[in-house]
Amino acid sequence: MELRFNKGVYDKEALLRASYSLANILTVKIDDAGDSWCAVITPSADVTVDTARDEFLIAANDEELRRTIRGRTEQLRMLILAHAYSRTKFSAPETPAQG
Amino acid sequence: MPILGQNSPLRKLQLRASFKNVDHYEKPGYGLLPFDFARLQGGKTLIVNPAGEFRTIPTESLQSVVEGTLPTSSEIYRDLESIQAISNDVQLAGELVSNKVAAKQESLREFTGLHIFVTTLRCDHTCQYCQVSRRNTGEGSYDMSKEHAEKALSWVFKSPRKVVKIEFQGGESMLNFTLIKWVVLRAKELNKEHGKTIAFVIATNLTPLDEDILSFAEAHDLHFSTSLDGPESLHNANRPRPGKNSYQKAKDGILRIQERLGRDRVSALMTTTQKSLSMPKEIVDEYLSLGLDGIFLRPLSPYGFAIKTKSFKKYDSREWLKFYQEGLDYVIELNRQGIPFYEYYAGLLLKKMLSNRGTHYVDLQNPSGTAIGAIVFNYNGKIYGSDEGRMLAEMENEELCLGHLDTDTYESVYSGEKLLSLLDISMQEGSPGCDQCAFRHWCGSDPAYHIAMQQDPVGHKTFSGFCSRNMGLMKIIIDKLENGDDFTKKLFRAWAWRR
Amino acid sequence: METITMVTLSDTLAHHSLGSGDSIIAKAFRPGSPPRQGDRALLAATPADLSHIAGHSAILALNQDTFEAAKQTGVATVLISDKLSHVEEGDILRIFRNTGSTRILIKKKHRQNPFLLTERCNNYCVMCSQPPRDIDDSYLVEEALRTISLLDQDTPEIGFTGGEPTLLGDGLIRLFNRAKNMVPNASVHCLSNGRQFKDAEFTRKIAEAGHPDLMFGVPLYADNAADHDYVVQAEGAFNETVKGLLNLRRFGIRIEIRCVLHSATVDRLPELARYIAKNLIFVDHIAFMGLEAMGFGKSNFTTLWVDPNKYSAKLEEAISILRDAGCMTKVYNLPLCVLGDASRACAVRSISDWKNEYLPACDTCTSKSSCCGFFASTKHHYENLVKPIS
Repeated sequence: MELRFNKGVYDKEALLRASYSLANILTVKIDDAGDSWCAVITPSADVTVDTARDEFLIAANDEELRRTIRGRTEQLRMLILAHAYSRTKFSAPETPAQG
Repeated sequence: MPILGQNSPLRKLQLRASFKNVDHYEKPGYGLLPFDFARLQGGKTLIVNPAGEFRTIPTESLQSVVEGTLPTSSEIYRDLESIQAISNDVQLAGELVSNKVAAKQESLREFTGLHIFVTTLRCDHTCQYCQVSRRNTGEGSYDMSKEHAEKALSWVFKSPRKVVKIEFQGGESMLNFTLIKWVVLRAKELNKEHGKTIAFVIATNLTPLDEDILSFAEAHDLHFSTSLDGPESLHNANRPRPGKNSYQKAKDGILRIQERLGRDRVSALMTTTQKSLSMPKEIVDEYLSLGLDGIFLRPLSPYGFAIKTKSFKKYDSREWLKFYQEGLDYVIELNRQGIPFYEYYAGLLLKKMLSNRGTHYVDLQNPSGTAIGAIVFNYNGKIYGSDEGRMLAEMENEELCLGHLDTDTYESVYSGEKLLSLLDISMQEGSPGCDQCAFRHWCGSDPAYHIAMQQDPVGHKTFSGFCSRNMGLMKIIIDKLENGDDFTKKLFRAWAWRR
Repeated sequence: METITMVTLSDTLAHHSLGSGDSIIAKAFRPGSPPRQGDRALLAATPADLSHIAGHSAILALNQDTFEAAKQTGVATVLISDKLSHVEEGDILRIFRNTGSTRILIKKKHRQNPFLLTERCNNYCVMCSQPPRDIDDSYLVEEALRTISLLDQDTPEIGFTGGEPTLLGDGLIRLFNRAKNMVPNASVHCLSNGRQFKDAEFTRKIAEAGHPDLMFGVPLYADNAADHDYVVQAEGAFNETVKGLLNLRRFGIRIEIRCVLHSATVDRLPELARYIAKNLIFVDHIAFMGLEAMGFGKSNFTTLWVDPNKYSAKLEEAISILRDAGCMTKVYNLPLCVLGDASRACAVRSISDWKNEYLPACDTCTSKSSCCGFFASTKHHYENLVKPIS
């Protein structure tokens, strides 16, 4: 089964992560189809095509949402972690905090 | 757009004229802070902040949370604000999260609490799931030497931790009780100049227990940890020995220690096999009847003879989770009836999920507990970063061997490339499947498990029994925290903060 | 000049020869007590007592005869009617020269004599028992400074309240220093909404004043900004208060968190407890307090009052959460019979000494002696709610 994902909405990373998380029920081949990604989905033997499609769509949407959240909060996340770890005295003062 | 969830009940309050209503203070607009999410059963979504604090929200509200359109009048808004997933003062919220992350990392500074001395590989039992290859009781070359024990002790005293544990394992560790005695006395002598608090634990099947051992244990405050798989028939079926009386020996030993030294001086661990799966209540009852204060409902680890005899494959995560849920429900029931009894796996996860404190359970650490959680000195002088690492070695896989007491120093091992790259690779932040998992703050890395099962320290988490089991457990616990009755919630909270 | 027979804590009394200058602050002593530092007022019950007049800057005549005799001495004199036995040795009074009005500032036998430092405040809490007034009451600081100098060395605690004491700025530091120097063994407990401590420099100065036993009592009414800001009727208050708490911690200043229990605070009480346990675990302790019907607490009473039996379960949960986390928790101003087990264990037999009252139903209660009873202002609301413990 083929699913198309508009590149303006979905980053390839979201599709790859979705594939990873569902590797036990399907395999995915992702091709570049111009302005969209083409995901060829093969469900495993004990899973229906409908289930595979539904799961993949949900997962892709979730991963894209995670990308959005990360995009907007990543800098802050690095600051939070750097501040947290610098206080546990892992690094000497002259060593820059590793992000 | 419909208001998601309830509004604050404060909206109904009418004060005197000069006072403003709460809606005046529900300022529109908020900023997003980093959080992870995961879908749960029942239309809910789990939201977790970088300190591992969580709330659940209706899944349908997630999109509006991220888009910035969540109404500030809603209870959902308040719930998410209280864990700093969203805030109208992002700087302050970030600082609060940072404080909490720092608190959880405190324990990392003091690494290596547990030091395991494998005194011998000799054993009188032939347990079907044995994670350590054993030799019959007569072969002397499988004993640890004093020279190696002396070197290992010097490592113990180099640990930054003030409170350390020395645990004797085997085979059947007490078959080399001479060495155990020697290590205890030598450790105490060396400790005069270090002033550490040292706890000694002997992991044993208790068959060699005798008066000499008990007197020594009494004089030196030793603790015992033994195996008790469940009722007699189950235990003996899992753990054959000459005489077919492993259960009786274990029971007698437990009772004897309790009477002679005290109830707190002996604890028991169970191992789950295919046969165990149908009898969680009976196993718990067995522990209760022997006066033990709790149980750790463990899964089977895929090492040693377990792999060879394929016993680890005999059940999958789902079967085990069903077994676990029944066991946990039964333990909760016992508490409800006024019988205090503790389940250690739930307790450990609850600590991670609800309390501010770090935990020391080696197999659920990020980065992995390899060497920094526990270190193992094998009978032959080889050094492993975990007990599982040693078990892999018995399967002829030395991937987690960190060195040898004769050729390597403490400094060269702890700051050596092998350990550091193992720790690096074990970090969730760099592992596919883990790096954005909402459950990761309560989970950990287990490179030994993944090497055994998938021949790779990181492995593919979608196929990982470690992952599905832990995630399944956390979902059970979240379900009870959210939907359980008041008694269960109160019990779980007490477990979370128990020292 | 009139002799007024009924005297409250602040009243105009017959006086004579108060002279010029604005007021005398003096501690009352019976004749013959050993000399002490500071301004002394002689408690004279007979004209013969006046022979001890040396060293006293005022005379408190306890009857008309003594008053007449005292007028002859030329020392500032105030008539306190013999019906008014509540002025006792050790009490500290302020006598305003121009009006003769007298205030008892410190009642020696009361453990708590909080100093009101100002009535100004930058919050406007819906249940405030001392509603803010935007006036120049800076004289209160001077009064407090002088009074502290007269306190007995065995005074256990000095309390500062308001309004918002931190609005005094450096004045507050002067007060802490005065307390530290004059009554070094007394602990200082200062109420504050905590907002001023968002300024790290201000907090640092407070810390550097170096009072050895200082604690701030800071109210927190919710785990979120909107609800807390609503209770204190000030936008941005929650965020400022939390920042303030973090700064207090940074500079090692001890904190008590307080929460008054009413309709705007009890719904999310367990959530507040969770918030404190996770984010503010460093505080010294948490105090939950029953509602007092004074000031705005009285004018908003109908809206704010909740039968404590109705929120008892939430309070129980909140306290369990805090105690599990290792936070010391106390419950003030709620009778034992409305409290669950964990809450009862935290109940303090408080309500200032002059406010403890009980209901007739309490006579059969086995726990009456360890119960704080009721505020006079709310007592009748409990009439159908109390259940004597058997």
